[in-house]
Amino acid sequence: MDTMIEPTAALRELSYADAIYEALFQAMTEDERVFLLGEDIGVYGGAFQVTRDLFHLFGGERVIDTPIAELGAAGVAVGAALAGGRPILEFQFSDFATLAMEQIVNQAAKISYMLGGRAAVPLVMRLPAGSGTGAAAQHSQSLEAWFGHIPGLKVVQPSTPHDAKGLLRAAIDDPNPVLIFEHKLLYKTKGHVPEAPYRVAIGKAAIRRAGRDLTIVATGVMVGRALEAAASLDAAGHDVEVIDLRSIRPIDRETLVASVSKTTRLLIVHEAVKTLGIGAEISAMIAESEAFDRLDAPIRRLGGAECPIPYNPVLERAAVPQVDDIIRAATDLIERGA
Amino acid sequence: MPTPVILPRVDMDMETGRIARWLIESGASVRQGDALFEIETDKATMEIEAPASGIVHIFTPASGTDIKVASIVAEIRAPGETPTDAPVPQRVPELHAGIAAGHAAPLAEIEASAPPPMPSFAPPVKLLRATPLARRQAAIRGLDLTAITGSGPRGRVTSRDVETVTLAEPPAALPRPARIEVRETIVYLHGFASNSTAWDPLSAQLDADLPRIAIDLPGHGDAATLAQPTLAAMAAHVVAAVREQTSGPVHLVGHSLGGAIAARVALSNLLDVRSLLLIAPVGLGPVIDHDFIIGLLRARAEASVLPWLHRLVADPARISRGMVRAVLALMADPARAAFLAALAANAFPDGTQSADWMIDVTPLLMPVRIVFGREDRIIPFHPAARIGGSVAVNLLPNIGHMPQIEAPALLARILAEVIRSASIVNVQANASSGAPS
Repeated sequence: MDTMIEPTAALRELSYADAIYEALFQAMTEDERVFLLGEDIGVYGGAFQVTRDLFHLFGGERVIDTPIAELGAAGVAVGAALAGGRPILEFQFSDFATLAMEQIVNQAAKISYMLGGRAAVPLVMRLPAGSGTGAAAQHSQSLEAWFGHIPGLKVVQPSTPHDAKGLLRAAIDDPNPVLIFEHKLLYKTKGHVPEAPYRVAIGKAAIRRAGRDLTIVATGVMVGRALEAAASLDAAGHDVEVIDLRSIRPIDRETLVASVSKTTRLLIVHEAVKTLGIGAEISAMIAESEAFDRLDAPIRRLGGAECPIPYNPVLERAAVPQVDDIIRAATDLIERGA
Repeated sequence: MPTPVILPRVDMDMETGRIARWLIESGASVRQGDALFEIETDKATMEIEAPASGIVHIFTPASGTDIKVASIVAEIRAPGETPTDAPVPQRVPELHAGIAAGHAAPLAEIEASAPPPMPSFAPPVKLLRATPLARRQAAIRGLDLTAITGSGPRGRVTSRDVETVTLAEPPAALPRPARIEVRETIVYLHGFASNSTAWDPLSAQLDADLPRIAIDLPGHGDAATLAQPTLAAMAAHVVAAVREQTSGPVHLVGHSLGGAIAARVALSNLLDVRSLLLIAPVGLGPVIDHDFIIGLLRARAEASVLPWLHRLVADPARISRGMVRAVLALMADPARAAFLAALAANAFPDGTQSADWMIDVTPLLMPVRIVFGREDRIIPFHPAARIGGSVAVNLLPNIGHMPQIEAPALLARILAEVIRSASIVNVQANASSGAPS
């Protein structure tokens, strides 16, 4: 667990976007192999203003604006990683990574394996994702489970500014391809971020709130909603544990099994479509584990609806889990056992 | 035998229904397949046909009130057949209504794969619904799940229901564990033919500011015997005894037979067990010194008790006259002697540690420590080496079956460590809950 103990005077707050910026800045300063590429990340500073002035600070050779051709950019990034570079590729929207699947899935994920470990692809991909911004069906998806299905890739989903900085830095250090899904609604959220560089281990979940009656496993933007729900449930006398999954691949099985064994009930909440999703994987993982004998209610999942993300803001909200949905499902599980 | 007519389930989620009207009068003669009554659900009204031929005797007249699915609303008797003295309306638990009503119910026709309709009344079949945790807890405590009323959806039994059953005997509504910090208590469970005073040397050495409860197991010390000399009954007794004294978290310490009971209590989830220390516990492997058990059960004089007690320890000087007198006093009471013999027969049939008393502590989440003396002549320490995961094992050289008497200072240190590690586990859980933001 990443418990950073610092004097209270040093409790510096940064936005999620600024925390990512700081990780990029520090990595580029410390290691000149690190460079950025992506659409509009240079002079424009990135679609979500994450790369900001890095183009002016580090120059056009280390902050490269690519054409609107994701497969090409991914190919360049994989090649650069093989040749000893430390590329960080930003997809303007995670939805556009679908155009680069060949390079991500067939090349980046497999080269080290197929060459018997004699080559590495230390590639970081940043993917702004999720709904809630009125960007409609082709710019609002949560596709993390697609990539989590591929051995050879690592997939993380930071939910706090602290983890955004620490997980990005751990990803840059990692000799394997890592995809970071950044929820667009989180970019402006603020939280404590230590200034000195640090790493958050990939593959470790975080218990955001300890509780005894129910475990809620949440990802990305759902972590905040789960914590909000937990506060309401607490007022109703229900003591809920909230786990921030943080890492989709690998999944922190140990923390999940221990938590469910303690609370005896499990609710999984993610924004991505529920069917065939991460919640299904976690549910099966628990059912196959020693925690099965400790279950006192069926496992419940909340996830995205069976539809593309609607443009209409009311429907867009309705298509993904909200705080009230979490409270209702949690109350049902605790009080009725269903 | 009369054929019952029940209110069938004509809709998948139908729980109750209303008889809109009877199409025949009570006492009328009907043929199988004749329309008997109309049933009204939220969605539709439909006719229900007679499951058999004979004279109809109506129990439940038509009314607007809801009756449960599978209630017996009438019966069809053969001419001259005597009526059953069925109360009205009778509940038939979980019986598939469509089948019981014969091929009269429309649903039964749809379910073509169902067995052919039975002409007479089939015995009620209750489908057991229980969560994995409830099943495990009931098994641990030897409770019959089918006898427990489930509060969950469709009567599913949850751990709460299982707990209510055992709570019904000791004081009823226990306060829900409060969020406020409750004092932790050490609970000691002694071994076979011993008593709570066996813990005095250890407890005197223990440097921990915690209240302690040393329990006399049933049939031992001051405690009465139990009707059932089983592990489940002993564990239930311990849970009740602890709850009489504290509702807070406990650290369980069990020796030998008390070790198997302590493990069972920890596994049952009925107490808030924070750590588990098992000293030369029963339940890890099949081997036990049967001669010792038999010899002790037969001994009625100091001369016959002493040699067996000497087997308990590496250094015979550790056996005090007080221990000898305690065993003799126990054996002098025929009720207790009989209980101990029954207990031994149950725990160690044919000189083997029986499967019922076997324990698996690996799924436990609290710190678990096992201590064995390497010179233990009652229970060999080897099976403890097979325990894996986070369970730690201490093997003590030159110590026999009674480490708490033979090396109380060392054991006190181990116990203090185990208790402290439990609080570290808790602190970690709390520390990690604080979001960095």
